[in-house]
Amino acid sequence: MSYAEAMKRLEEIVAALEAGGTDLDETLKLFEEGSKLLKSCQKELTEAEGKVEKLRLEDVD
Amino acid sequence: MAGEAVEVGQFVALARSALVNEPYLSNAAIIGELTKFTLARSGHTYFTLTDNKGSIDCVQFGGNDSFISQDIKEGMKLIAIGGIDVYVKTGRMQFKSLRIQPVKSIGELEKTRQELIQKWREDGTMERPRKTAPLIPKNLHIITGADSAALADMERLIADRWPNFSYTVIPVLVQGNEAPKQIVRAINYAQENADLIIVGRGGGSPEDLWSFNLESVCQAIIESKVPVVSAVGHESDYMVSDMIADIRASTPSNAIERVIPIKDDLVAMIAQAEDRLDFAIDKLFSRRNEIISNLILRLRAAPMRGISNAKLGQSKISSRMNSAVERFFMIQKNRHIGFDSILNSTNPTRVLERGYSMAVDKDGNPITSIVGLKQGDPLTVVLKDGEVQTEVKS
Repeated sequence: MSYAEAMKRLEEIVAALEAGGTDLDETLKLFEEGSKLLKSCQKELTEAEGKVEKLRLEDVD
Repeated sequence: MAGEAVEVGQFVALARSALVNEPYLSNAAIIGELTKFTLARSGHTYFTLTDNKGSIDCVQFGGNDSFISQDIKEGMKLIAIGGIDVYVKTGRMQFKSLRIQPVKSIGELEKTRQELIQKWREDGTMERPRKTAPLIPKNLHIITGADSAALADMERLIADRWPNFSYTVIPVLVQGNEAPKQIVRAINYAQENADLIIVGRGGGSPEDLWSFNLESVCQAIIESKVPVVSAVGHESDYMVSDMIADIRASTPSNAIERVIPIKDDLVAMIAQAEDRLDFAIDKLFSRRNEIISNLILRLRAAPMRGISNAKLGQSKISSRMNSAVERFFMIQKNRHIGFDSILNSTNPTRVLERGYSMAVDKDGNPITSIVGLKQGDPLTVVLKDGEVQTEVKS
């Protein structure tokens, strides 16, 4: 799943949670999925940041 | 006395030998007006040259052709080249001419000059493309009078402008009958090695300068493979050579000023050009550097902005999710609290506390109806502070 797709799914999950109307099981399931997606997105972002720093050091300075 | 007398023939022969052995007389060029002449059948020419101080009979053996071809007429000024001789038989002194040359008057010379200019105007020679002098001549040849003032001026000026400048001098006669031939020969010789030729002389009478109006000299200049500078006389002298040369200098000194650069100026010019080039390159690079460092800054900031935006988005969504879930649990908890209080209010033990008791069967289930009860069934009665065992009596 790409970063954009993951963020889109996350948006859906949060919107569903915010709307309420989900039962406990569903809430837990959505929260778990959301947390996982968030974690993977954060990881991807941190990696991207690291890559930019590295490129800076290699090519620019 | 008779014994001491010399025979006439012997005397004249002696006189002749004395004269012809005198170098100044035996090898001379004489100039005078042609007062009379005879073209003999034999082909020999007999003529007389005269001026206001003297006169001499002349003979040129086989001279008729020369007189005819040069269109010699009585009254012309002639130069006869040859030597003195005495015709022993008659004792008559005469000049034995080998070559004659008419001396043209300035008027005649000027006419020839105008004709030459006219001819070269018409055939396009005057307007032909000129060769340009090299910036720094590597093999300059100067054709001028040996030990002349003009040469001294030029040499001094060269040394001033460019110390130790190397060049070649070809000394020639610049006036007189031999001058044109020598100048032509020098021009033809010089162009084998030279990359620039200066031909000229200092000031003088129109007759002195006339070589530079002659077709032969000018033709050699026109045909030269290397550029020729004409540098004749003073500023006011305007020769045909000046008109047809690649470069016209007003004087010999002016020729040097026109073709030999001042070394120090050239060096300074090169240094200046170098500075300007350096400056231009520096400027170019610093401008490029500026653009690049600007781009670097922007490039550095750009992905970070994207990343920080993404981070912001993530933290927003994360907090939204957390608060949604928290709210969910809060709602659930609140419902629990409600249930709890209801449950609490309906707890049977509370009823017991108010003085009621409750009968339960052996499994602990409350007995709420008499239906299904038989005589002798065991009952447990639950009271506020304990249980008692009993049984159904009726």
